[in-house]
Amino acid sequence: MGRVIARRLLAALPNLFGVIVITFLLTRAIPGDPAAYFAGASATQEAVEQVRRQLGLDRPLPEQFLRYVADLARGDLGLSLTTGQPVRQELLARLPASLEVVLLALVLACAIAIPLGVAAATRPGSWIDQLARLVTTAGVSLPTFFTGLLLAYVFYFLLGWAPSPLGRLDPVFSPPPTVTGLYLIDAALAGDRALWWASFKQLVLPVVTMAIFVLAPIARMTRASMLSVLGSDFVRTARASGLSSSTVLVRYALRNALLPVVTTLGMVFGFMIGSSVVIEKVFGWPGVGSYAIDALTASDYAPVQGFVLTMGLLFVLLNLAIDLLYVVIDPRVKIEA
Amino acid sequence: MSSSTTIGHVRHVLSDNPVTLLAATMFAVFVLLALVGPFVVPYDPLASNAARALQPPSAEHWFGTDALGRDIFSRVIVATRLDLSIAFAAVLMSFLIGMPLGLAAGFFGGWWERIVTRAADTVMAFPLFVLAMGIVAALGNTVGNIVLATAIINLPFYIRVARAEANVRRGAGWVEAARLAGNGDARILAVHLFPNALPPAMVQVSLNMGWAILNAAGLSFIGLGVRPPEPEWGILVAEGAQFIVSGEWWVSFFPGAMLMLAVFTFNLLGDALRDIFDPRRRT
Amino acid sequence: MTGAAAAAAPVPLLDVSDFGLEFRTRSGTVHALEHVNLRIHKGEVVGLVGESGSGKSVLSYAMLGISDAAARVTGGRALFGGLDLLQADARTLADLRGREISMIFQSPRTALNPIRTVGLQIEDVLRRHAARTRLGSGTGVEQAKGLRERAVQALREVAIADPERRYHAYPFELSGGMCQRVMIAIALACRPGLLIADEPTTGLDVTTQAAVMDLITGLARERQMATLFITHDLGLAAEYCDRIVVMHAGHAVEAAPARALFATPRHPYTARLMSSTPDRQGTLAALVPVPGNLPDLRRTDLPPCRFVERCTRAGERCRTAPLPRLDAQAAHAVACWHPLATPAPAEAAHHG
Repeated sequence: MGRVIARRLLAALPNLFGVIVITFLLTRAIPGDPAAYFAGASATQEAVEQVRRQLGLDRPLPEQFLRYVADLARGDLGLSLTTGQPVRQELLARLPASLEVVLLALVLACAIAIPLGVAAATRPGSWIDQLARLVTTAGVSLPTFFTGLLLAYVFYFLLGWAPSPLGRLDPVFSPPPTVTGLYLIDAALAGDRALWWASFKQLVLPVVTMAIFVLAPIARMTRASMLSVLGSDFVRTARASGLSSSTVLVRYALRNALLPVVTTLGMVFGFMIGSSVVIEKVFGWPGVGSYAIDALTASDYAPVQGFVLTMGLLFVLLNLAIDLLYVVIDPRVKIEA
Repeated sequence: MSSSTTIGHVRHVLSDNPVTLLAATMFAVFVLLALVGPFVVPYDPLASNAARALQPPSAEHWFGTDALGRDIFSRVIVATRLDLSIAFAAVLMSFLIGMPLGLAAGFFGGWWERIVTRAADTVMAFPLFVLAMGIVAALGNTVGNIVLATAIINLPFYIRVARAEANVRRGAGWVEAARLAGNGDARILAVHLFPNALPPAMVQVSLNMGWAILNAAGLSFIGLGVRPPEPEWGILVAEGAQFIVSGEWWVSFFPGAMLMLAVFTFNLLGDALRDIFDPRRRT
Repeated sequence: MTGAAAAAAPVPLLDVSDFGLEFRTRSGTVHALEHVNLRIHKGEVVGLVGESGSGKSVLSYAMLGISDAAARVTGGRALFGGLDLLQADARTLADLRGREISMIFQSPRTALNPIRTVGLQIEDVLRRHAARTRLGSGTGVEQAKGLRERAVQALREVAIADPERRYHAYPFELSGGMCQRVMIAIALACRPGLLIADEPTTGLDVTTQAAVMDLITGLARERQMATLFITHDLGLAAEYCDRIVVMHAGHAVEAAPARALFATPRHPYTARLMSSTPDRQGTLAALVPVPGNLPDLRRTDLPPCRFVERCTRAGERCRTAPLPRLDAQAAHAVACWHPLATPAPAEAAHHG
């Protein structure tokens, strides 16, 4: 088992390396003078030269790359032109906001999609099956920004149920003392019920928007996997042994069917990280995505680069985590040595 | 595969499944709009008229007007050309670069295959939208770079499809026979392997078109690529976003709905193509 | 039959009479089984032989109540200990399965849950039928321990070496033969009265085949358990079965004690089956294949005897008159107008 885990870890290394290389190349692929880019539009020629020396842009490329990796190892992602703050600091401060939406959306999506997929597979041809198929086909066609706006219009403007989509908290409230950065947890830890509720209300629309987006691949995979498992030999044996239908469904069918769904989650995370950028713009959410967008609009390059790098690394690590989880839950993986 | 059975099979799938027929029709409509749209719209998409700003849908302005008094219907229709062109160009580029790379990788194997696979895997190691953002941010905020970025993030799909096909057929008897008959490797790849890889690639193309449209619109929505006043669905939705909270829903709704319809059409088409070429994989 | 004779005849454990089954499919109704008569007595090993598609497996699935959703019973009864299996509700049948009637399948590797240890799979069945199998009282821990011991014991009974260790094994860690033993252990854990073995040796090598069959018949003899052994392998049937029922295209066409069947087959199909089966003495050239194919069971114009189109002894009556029913009480029964050992119609006309 240890050997299989080690192999998985080793397999992730080239991807980590690839992410670093590509983000490095992106910074050097800037047309024109990268130093001018980093120095900013209003910099003098002197300032540009200073930046050039500072960032080592006058050195040969391989040496630049080594400096880049060394900086990364120290956690130095550069400075933001617009705020003057270290990029790493700002990214870390904003990461929990993005994570809160992503994690809640994943939980919500699974809570709906998995039962939907299971129900569709156990009742083929029924209305649940048709609904599941509609969800999966329509879900992949919906642009997240469109869904977000629609939901905001219906639930905020028309119905008045949701609060104004202007960020994590109504300005009346101040954020809870930071423990995890996730407002729901921190507010609960502080025992502030009103604050918890206010945070929750702001979270509903962005979370639902993202969940709708990822419902489709999860439901599709669950349904397909469940259909396949329900027709398998061992399910027939379980039935022939008189096991109760709930035992057959859960202990025999579902556990096997969920294995491919776990591997799908890796791909799903990629979609979620991508769509979080757009969702943060629609709902004014102060996460890493909107940080990058603001920097882009201001031609402030270091934050964008830091954002791409961080999301890339995060994605590789997430996939690794899912891979390792799979090793734990599927006993057959041991034989891969 | 004789053409008569293919046509017969296509007809069978079309008649068997009315949804497929619908998708094919919608596809034709979109292509038509892209081609002749700018010539048939009632208003000049760029003509602003402050007096008629933010008017709801009416008989005169079917989709209403935006903040500058421009007719949204005309803008949405005209945007079809730009969106479809961006998506088409990106997918074509991916296809033309990715297929040969993948075929060569699968056919020759060895370190060549390893390099190509490693490159494809590295692209896939990123959340694709984020990578597209990074590419456009680095190379410059132009439509051309949107196309390039979308093409790059779609490359791995074609590389994988082509490589899988080539791998399967690499050891096939008829390939050996062709080689012995004096055919060079390039000729084998082009004339023999490529047509075999075409059907699954076609499925991929259709699905990728939908994905590419979404991608381009998403990038435009956050301010990359197409700039106002050029009409493009993503930009149109962005222009209307601020008015959602004050109730002028039509500014964002119609471009968004059109976008959704286009993506939906290509997804349905992709499923239909998959049914035609590989009935085993029907969901 | 006189009163004395009736009293002497043992009551069959499973008494299937006039059983019919069809499948509703998109391409038509498949008349899978028709007028099937079958009897199995306690302790008997009955072989059910026939080509693929003759309805052998379909019959057993119907007995257990695990037929495909598209299946419809068209008539008949299947009495098991006084209960008509075809009329019983799902709950009753589920209680019976694994406890009174068990089934084992071919491809044992895929027939076991790949991500669950074999020990737990045996325990699942024990726990399910716990109330009736006298698991006994005690605390949860004691019960769990008791279950585990019984599972290990079940493994021991199927001659699996080192059962305590194998208890923790996953199916992929075991050979095909061992997986089949595990499946037998699961099936016999609650001491059923009837075991249905659907091609249990297909896919296993010859030595393992013999070992598995010996195990099954040994346990059956020990526990006076009836066995329905479904196979397309006549040789195996000849060696291990007391009685054999031959099926063709959804009909039961002949039933006889094994030895009698092989010595004097009465149905033309049975005879052709035998001459197409290789045996030690003969040569390859001597093999005579059964001509033609099974009729398409979706046809609405199926003749009363479904072998008529391939039969060299077919007469006018065979195409029109309803097939004589297989007399389940006779020692050697055949459903045919012109069985072998009687003149064929052409000869009959000649001798007039």
